[in-house]
Amino acid sequence: MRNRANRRGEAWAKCPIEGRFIRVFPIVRMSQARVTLVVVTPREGVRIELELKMIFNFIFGRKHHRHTNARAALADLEVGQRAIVRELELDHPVAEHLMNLGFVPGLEVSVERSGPGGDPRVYRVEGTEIAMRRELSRHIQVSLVGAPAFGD
Amino acid sequence: MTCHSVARPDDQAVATAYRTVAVVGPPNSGKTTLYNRLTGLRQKVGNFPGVTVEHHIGYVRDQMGEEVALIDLPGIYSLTPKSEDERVAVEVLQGKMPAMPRPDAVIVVLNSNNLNSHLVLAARVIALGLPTLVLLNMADELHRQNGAVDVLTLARELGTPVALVSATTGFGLEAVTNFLASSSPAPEPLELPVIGNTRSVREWAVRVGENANYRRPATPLWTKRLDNVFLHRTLGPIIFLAVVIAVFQMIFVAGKPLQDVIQGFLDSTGAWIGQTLPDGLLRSMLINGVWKGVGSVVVFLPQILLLFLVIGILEDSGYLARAAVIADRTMSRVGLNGKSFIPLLSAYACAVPAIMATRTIESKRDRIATILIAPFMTCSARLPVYTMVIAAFLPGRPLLGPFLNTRAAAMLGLYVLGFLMAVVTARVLKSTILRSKDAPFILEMPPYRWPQASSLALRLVDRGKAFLYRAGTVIMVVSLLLWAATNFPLHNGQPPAIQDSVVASVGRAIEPVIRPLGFDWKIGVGLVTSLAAREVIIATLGTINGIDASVHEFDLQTALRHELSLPGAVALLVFFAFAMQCMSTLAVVRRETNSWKWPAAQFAYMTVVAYFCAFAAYRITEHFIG
Repeated sequence: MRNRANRRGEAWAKCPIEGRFIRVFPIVRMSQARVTLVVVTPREGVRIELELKMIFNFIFGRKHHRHTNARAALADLEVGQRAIVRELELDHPVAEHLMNLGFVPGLEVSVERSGPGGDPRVYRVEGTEIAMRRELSRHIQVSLVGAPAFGD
Repeated sequence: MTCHSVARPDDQAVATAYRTVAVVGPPNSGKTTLYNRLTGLRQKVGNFPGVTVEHHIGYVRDQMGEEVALIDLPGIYSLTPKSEDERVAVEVLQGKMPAMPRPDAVIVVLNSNNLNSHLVLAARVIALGLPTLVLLNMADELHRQNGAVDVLTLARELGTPVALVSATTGFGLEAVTNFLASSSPAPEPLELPVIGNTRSVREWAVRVGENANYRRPATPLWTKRLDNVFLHRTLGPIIFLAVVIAVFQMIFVAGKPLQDVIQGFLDSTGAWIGQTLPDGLLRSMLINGVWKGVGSVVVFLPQILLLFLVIGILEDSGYLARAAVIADRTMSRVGLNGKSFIPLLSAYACAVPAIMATRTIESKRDRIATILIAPFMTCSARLPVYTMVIAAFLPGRPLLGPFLNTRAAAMLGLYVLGFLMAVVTARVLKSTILRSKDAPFILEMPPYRWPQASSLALRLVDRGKAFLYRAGTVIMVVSLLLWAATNFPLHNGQPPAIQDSVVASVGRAIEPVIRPLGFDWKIGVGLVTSLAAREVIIATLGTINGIDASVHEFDLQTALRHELSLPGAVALLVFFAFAMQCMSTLAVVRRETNSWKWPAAQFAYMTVVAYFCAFAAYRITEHFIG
């Protein structure tokens, strides 16, 4: 599914059924866990819900493909993505502990899976799987190796 | 990177065979399994002086038949003394620990599946200059998962003997007995990194691994498959709940018959002692004092061992780490993290081992919060009290078909009550005196493994002994005191009637305080004696009623119905749900927090909460039944 948005706040979406572009009115809706974009087409009455995360991924995921050195926090990575650890912006004992477990700058880390509710998540580094909360992985700077294609 | 050679150790350590050898290794390296495999039952637990870290000393024979003492040090990742565990390890290895000789040699146990991380610890231990043996454990998994390492090259790089071993299968363990007999010289590695800098040590480790052609094994496929299920978004929490329920179901279904067997045995031996001894003060002391005291502790052994067995299986299989991940989200709501879940689960058997298990929580504030709420969990010592009171006052009627009857529902309600109070207390603590930025929750996920029966059995023996010793000694003393209090002052050389005994005066003294809860002096005596341990109240009420002629022919439940009104019974249940009536727990809290401040505060808080909640329960029940 492709999306385009113009400056007036309307958006054009390619209709999945007919394959043509239709005008839609997007509404951003925030719920507990996710921010969703609800688009309703006035004529057809088709309702499409998109997670902003998916759109974000779609837009920025491709950028990551082009610039493989793009920086991000480990918490921003999606499940399945891989990255190189760059910097631990954490207090010494915590950083030291993480380094002993394998979070050493220069090593590859991947997001293995997400716990129920998306937090904590399990990361893999050097053959070890380590679970940590986002409040921690937010402070681990990484550079991306590759991003999964949209819809992965 | 700067390198430096290692200083030679003093000659004496090289010349003589080893007497004491320290075993170190990171957590999840299989160190304990290996240690148990080497020493078997020939080990004892001790505490290092001044700290709460436990150690094991076991004995093993080397190739020449000489006895060598193996010291099992706590699982550590590095030798920077930041945690108590690491400080203890460093002090022992440097010979600075009082009452502990400096080890003559060190055995470093590493997980061969994660060599690059674990070689960091090896580098730091080798740098100490003691003769060292490096064991690459879990060789069976390494081979099965297509990993490889050149042991000879690694030995040359490290300057120490290196062996691939498997603690679970016993593969390669002769290397240990060889090493113990050989008195090999101190290590002279090709190069060592700057020890203080984790990053440079790490780079060194990767290079050494590369030189030794280390190929990391693939993650077992079934670990990934199982995690797909156990950590699944919706299935994960469902399985988690099912496991917790199954654990309890098993403990009560399997534990009850075992408990009955032990109770029957204790009763018949008690009766036998009664027949063989002549009537008198001595017989009364042996049966009502000593034997009942022993019985009240031993009776809980099946349930506690079953719980440790189940937790041990969950832990060794690797599921417990996943359970902590699942529980973390919920635990974070009350300000704790997933690691508190394991101690709190153990607290359902007994708060004593639960408080000992809080050592895995790094954050001191989180640890104290967990210690303070653990006794609110319904431990097995509360069960006989609950069972007796519920059975006496509540007729067993089916509530939800065959699954739940009224008595089970009441029991469940008390479990929920304790849990809720724990949650409330945790929230209050974490938002007031123990406020801290959320402690980092970092947990290694071990691959799934089959639990080993021998290692489980050893742990059960260890825990069982600890429980009997810690709880048994206190309860024995208290039941003897109680016996004395009920049998003195002597009246014409005969024990007095219960109304005239010391214990009755204590009960009467506190009666005005507990009268608003609907308790009479007999319950008061029970409350006093249950300060030793909760279940003692049953023995006390038995003793009081057993020698009280007016209710001699009734059994305990009938006697209870005479003493308590229904509101009083509800108040008693609520009181027991919240009150800190366990000297063993207080003693352990004192030891684990290293101060009297926390156990005193805990005791005061729980007693106040119990008193006022019991009062409220009494009034509310009274109001409803008119």
